Amino acid sequence: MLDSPDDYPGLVTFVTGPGKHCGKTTFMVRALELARRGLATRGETSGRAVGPAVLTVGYDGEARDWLSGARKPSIPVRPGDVFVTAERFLRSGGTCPEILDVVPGTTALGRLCIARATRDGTVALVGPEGNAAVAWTLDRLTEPCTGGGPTAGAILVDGAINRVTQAASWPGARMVYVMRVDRAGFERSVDLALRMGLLASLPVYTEPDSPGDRATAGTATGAAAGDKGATTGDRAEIEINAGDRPLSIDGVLTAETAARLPPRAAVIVVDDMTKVFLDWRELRAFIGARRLLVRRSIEFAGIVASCRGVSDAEFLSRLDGAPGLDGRVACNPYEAAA
Amino acid sequence: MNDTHQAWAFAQVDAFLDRCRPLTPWGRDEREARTVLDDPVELESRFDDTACVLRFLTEQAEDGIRLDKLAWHLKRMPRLPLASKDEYEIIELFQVKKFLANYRGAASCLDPELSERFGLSPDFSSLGADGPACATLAAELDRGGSDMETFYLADSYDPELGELRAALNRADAALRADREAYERSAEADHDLSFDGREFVVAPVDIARPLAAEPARYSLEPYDESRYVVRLLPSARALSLLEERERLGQRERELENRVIRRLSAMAAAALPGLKAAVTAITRLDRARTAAVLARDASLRRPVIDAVDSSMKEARFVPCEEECRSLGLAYTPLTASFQSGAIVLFGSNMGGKTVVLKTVLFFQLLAQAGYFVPAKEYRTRVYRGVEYVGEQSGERLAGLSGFGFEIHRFEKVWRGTEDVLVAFDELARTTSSHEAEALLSAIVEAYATGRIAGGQSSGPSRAFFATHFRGIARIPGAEYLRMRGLDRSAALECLDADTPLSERLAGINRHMRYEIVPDDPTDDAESDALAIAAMLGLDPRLTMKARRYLAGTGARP
Repeated sequence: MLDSPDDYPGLVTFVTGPGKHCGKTTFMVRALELARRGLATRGETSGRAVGPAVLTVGYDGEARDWLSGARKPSIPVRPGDVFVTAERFLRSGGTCPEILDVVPGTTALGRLCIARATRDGTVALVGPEGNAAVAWTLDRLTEPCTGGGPTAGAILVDGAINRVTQAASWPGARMVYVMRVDRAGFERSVDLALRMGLLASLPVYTEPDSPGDRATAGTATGAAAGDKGATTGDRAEIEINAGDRPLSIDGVLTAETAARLPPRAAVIVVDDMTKVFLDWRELRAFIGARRLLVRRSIEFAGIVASCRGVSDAEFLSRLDGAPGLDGRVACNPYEAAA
Repeated sequence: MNDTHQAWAFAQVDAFLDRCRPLTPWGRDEREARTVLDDPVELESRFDDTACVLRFLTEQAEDGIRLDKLAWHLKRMPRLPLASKDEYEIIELFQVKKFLANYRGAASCLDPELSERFGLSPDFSSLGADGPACATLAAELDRGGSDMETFYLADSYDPELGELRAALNRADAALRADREAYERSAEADHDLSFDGREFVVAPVDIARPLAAEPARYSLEPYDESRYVVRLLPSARALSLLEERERLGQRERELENRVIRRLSAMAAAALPGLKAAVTAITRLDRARTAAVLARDASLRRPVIDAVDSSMKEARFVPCEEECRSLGLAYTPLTASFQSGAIVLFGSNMGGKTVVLKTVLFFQLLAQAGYFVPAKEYRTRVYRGVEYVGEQSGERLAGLSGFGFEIHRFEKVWRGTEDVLVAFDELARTTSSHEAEALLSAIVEAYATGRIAGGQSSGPSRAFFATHFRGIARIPGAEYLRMRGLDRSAALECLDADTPLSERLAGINRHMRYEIVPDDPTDDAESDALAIAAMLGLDPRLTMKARRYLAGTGARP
């Protein structure tokens, strides 16, 4: 899973994880290399080479590190790779960049541009912050360039979980959750993984077509939360009983909002999985009592877990049969074959 | 032009202009600025521009590609630096290149008449003396980039740059070869595959033997059973990296030299670039207005008329609202001669819509747009104002009456030669005093005795009011909405008709037409008829009619 050159071309892969230092950048470097190989193979077949693109979204802690002068991890790029960075870092990585476009607006780090490396080098990624700028950038990266193909043949986006909605709702986008697992935080890591799988498998609520259908409260497509082995790829149509009028929540579902829900509200609908702010135990308890649906699903590519002081087998055994995780957990991409 | 914000909001102009889609950043700036012009020459020129593009759109309708291409180029226009600098950023040079590329693209889509009118030519010759500097700059920037828009500091900009980059590329290739050789060796000797990875996490049994080669492998414990293994650069690679560093510094110097040279060329082309932006903005503005005129069936307004008149004028926001509610909409046909026009009418009779229509048309025309009417004749005013309450708006500390007087005072003391609409002025105070106040204001506008400085023309004021007791001032016009066709409306309703149908019935039988008001006409008010139609207890309606007849007063 996510370890083959064929896993990336034609897709927007949103890479997120639980906070800083969870291994996102390290994973991105590997994913970029694989995407590059996949696109090179396709280019040889089609006769038209196009590189991958890499960017970040949001004003995250790493951008603040730049403002404070702290070092930010840089990404090695090769000729043909496309990246988004701030004007001030454009020429600093030795990539001899060709500017493809300027992102409208400005950020805390100044103007941003989309550039293509013409030589080996490193880049400091600085991404657009607002929804409109993110949409514009993704649109621009998938827009046809001279020669007819898209500007970038695969797009990797690094971003905090609260930005998932922005990028992962893009057509052809999916999300990867990257995490580090160690002995001290083992149980918490297991909970995080189980929670992600469950959230990713929440059924999708579909509005009834006509006012007359409203009484039947619509349908939901997806695996029933709690069903073992359910995945986003094998959603089933679930009938919602006429008496279970869905209650939509605007904004986020927290433990506090959950406590205030009417006891008779059996079906709760949120915008998407990122609007659920319940930890694993709260989420499990919530789903034990009610049905939780999302209006919009986010394609979940899986979890990439780097285990340290814990064997991969031990971690994987705890996730065995968990909703949404079947075949969707990969281990450290830097692991040498034993 | 004074601040027309109040009138603009009251007349719901944005609700109509939201369908306008300027494509360039400067066009969007203008749209957001909501500029209302008071120069007839400038307005006529804008109407001519719109007519010219409208003709082009019509002629090219079958060749959609040309129009699409024009829109594509306009949409891709970037903001570019228009201030002179000794040294531009590379990103700014990119913006200049992209602008020039799309300027040429847009200009090449036009026919000779449009090129001439807007001063746009692909070879920059239309920029006159400033054209050659732009052409030279465009040609120079075209040397850097893999297509017409993209930009980089190409080798060809400096002979030394090309040689130096060739050396850099050789160093990169040698470094890659060195690394690949090490990777192959790790795999062959230790069964350890790096596969392009900077490091690998290897089991102890694979990693420990590598400690015997400290010049080649770096090891650090990962956990109890694994090590992080990195390939160390060879002595040759270290030497190449040093060389690369040195070449990189020199490359930076040469690039800066190229940037300074290109910056000087950009600064020299600045007058031409500014003129080109002005021409593109004008084309975008005219295209936006022409597309709107085509899609919404708009006509060119006549702005040199003394009197104001409109034929089948459609107040589009209201027309669309009626359509969404399944109600009929009646376009307005009317003419106005006086400086003060008083408009009577019952509730739901359409007085406020008439005021909105008048301001809507005037603002559209003075913003440079064609208008949705068979004919609209007016003149240009120095101000367009509205006095009345906007929905949900209050000024802290003032009552509704105080708020109106505050706003009126600003209009009264401001510019003369204003078109102003008063909606139910003084409606919140006693009718006796309100009629006295209204009479005084109507007289002032009817006789042209307005406060303020010199006038370039008389102001014109519209008053929508319920107060029929205001003085009949010579020179003022007194009009009324024709109102409800009561017999027809009552015939089609019975006691069980639901409210929505009653509303639709009132709308169907309301005659939204303006007719001269006859002060001697004491026919019954529509208000009581409408109240009855809306289901008011008939006993109350009957009593109200008796009171009305007993006092002899007119509602």
